[in-house]
Amino acid sequence: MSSRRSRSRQSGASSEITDAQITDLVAKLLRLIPELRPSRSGKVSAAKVLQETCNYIKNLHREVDDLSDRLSQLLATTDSNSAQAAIIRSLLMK
Amino acid sequence: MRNLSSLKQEFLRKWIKGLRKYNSQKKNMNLLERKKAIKLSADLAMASTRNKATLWRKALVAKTSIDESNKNDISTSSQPKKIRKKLTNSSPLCRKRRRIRTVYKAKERVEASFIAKKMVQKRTRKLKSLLPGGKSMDEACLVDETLDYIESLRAQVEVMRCLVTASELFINPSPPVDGGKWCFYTYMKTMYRGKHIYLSLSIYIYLHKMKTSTQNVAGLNNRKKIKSYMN
Repeated sequence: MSSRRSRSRQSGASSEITDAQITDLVAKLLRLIPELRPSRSGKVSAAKVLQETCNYIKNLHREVDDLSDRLSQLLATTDSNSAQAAIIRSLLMK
Repeated sequence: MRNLSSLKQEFLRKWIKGLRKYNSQKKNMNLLERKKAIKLSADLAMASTRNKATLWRKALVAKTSIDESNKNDISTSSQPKKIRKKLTNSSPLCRKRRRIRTVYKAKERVEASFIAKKMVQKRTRKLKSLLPGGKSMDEACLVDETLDYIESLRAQVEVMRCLVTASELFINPSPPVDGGKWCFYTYMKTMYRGKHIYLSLSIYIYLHKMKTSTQNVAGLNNRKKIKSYMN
């Protein structure tokens, strides 16, 4: 299987992520990223773990961007006529 | 994992402080400037939580200060392109390297572990590019940094989501108007399934109290109470 975790160790240089680190990463992220659950073979490939982690981080970044967009639009369009708008403004701007 | 809701509270407090500072500094920002201000204050707040000296926090703070000085500068977009152009020259050395690479490729194409290793290296590089300050991290601390960054990023996203949806619902309540408050509350509850309800409830109570107390005096007292909580 090309995607098995066991790899031939090189000259012990710390220039690669070790299997132990991947296991640690999987254990901690299992709750957040359901794709990390081991499938039928009972093992998760290191490449897949890193890929899913990257995707997760990218999604979070995108969501932050989207939320900032919405918030800036909210602050821009709330005009002074509604009481609610004044409350939001007093919360977020001094 | 450590206490997520305390992390979120700390983030909310710092973020709102930062937002107020930005908004009081410059009135009448346009949409783009305001969005950048929101993002910068959120990133700064996230980086200053927990008081830990992780690499990504330092890098994020450095990046925020650079971004802040470039906020109104439109001409900065030309600089990155210049740097990229320098790196992609095809000197004779690059061409020789490419030739050697094709020879190796033919030999070891069937070598499965080789391919797997290359994949892992490629993905590690990708992960490093996503983390702030990741390019200068060595693999030993990469995993720990990633975990800490993901935890803080999650807290940031959840707090922002809570605040934005609460504010949106508050300003534009879904009909009927009287049931709007109830719908809002149940919406928050289902969104958070009882967990971290403290944070969303505190926002809700603040907004609700502000709405129902139309007299200035009562409103002022409540506002002071909530402000003391925020600070």
